[in-house]
Amino acid sequence: MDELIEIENKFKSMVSSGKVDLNIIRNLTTFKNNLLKSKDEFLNKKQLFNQFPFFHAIETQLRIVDYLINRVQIAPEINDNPKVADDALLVIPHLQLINNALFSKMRDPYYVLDLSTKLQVLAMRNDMYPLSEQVTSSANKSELAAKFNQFVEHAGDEIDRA
Amino acid sequence: MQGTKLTEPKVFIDANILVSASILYVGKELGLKNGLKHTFYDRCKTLINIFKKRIDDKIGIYTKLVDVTANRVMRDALLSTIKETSRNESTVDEQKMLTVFSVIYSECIRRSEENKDALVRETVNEDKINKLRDKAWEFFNVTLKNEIEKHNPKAKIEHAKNIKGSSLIMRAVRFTKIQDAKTFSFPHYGTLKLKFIDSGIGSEDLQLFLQALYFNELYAKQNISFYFCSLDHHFVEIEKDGLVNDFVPAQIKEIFKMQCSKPEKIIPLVK
Repeated sequence: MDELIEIENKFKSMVSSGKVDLNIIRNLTTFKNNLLKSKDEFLNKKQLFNQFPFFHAIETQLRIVDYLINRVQIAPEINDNPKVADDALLVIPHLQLINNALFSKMRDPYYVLDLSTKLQVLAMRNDMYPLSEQVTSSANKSELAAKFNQFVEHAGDEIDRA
Repeated sequence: MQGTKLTEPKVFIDANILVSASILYVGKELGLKNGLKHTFYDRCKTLINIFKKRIDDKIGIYTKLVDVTANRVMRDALLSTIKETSRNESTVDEQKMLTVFSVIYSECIRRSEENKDALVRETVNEDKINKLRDKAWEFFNVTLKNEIEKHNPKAKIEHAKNIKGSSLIMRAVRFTKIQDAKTFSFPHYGTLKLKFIDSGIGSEDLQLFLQALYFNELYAKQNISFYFCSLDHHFVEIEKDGLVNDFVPAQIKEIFKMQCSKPEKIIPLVK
């Protein structure tokens, strides 16, 4: 993930110079495209449902990158720099970490899922994660409702078993 | 009243409260309120909302263990749903479905974090907790087990079955006595047997209980009222079909001087 190192360096420069470097959008887009490519690779595997932790790890990153691209784009208008760069610099090491775990030979699905949760929480705390409406809009509402009800039942079972 | 300081109560929440409150929130946003099967979700969220409203009073507390357990419960519930879908829906578009599951998980984590904002994360003294371990272990695995077994309605049922007489009245009396022995002498015996005699308390639940005991002792010294809020029948009363059994929380109160209650009992105390 050399792209991430370049992105990190550019954000560091944005902090020190106080100027928004819009070229960083190109790097972020490359990073995003790499994630999409990896997602396609996961989606081509057999027993797709077993890939959920890895799929979710990529989805979480894609949500963050899309949101970050948007923040950088409007940063000059709303004077969001160096705040946007500071926020990004807090999240990038965790993106690095999750990608190392995701593409290691001995990847552990539970560990990857746990890292995704941590990444999401970190991103939410630093205004790097999209709003609820944006996240839910990526899924079909009736399928979401059906699966959510099923999930609630299983959560109830987990609680009852406690 | 010199030297007496009015202090707010403290409520230590079990992971099941955090999970319930987080799931309800997502369901409501999806317009699924009526689809929810567990009525206690509303009560959990109401309690969290009170903590939020009274945020300066720092009433609601949780620990790292609660956090980790809540995440584990949500994760396991989701993975079970995925497994079920994979088993039963062979024609489903897996790709689309993975997106749906990812959204559900993301939103539950979001709500859980928002709920935690209404709580104070506390640390615990592991040395002090370890000193409480033996007594708590014995309480759950020996004392409670034996006490619950004493309430086994088997003998009463047998006694009722032996009521002599073949007249219609005597048959009715016998039937009523058997039903009474099964239901009213010690309601929900079967559930308690399952929880305490057949399976026993799990290590995670015991650890949560120990943390609650630790806070109970800590706040007692400061003259602060303390409650352990849970939905788990290892700690709180069973209320079902109009019958209540509060044997377990009553024993906890007697032996450990700690009050364990469901959210609906705690809400009026912290409102």
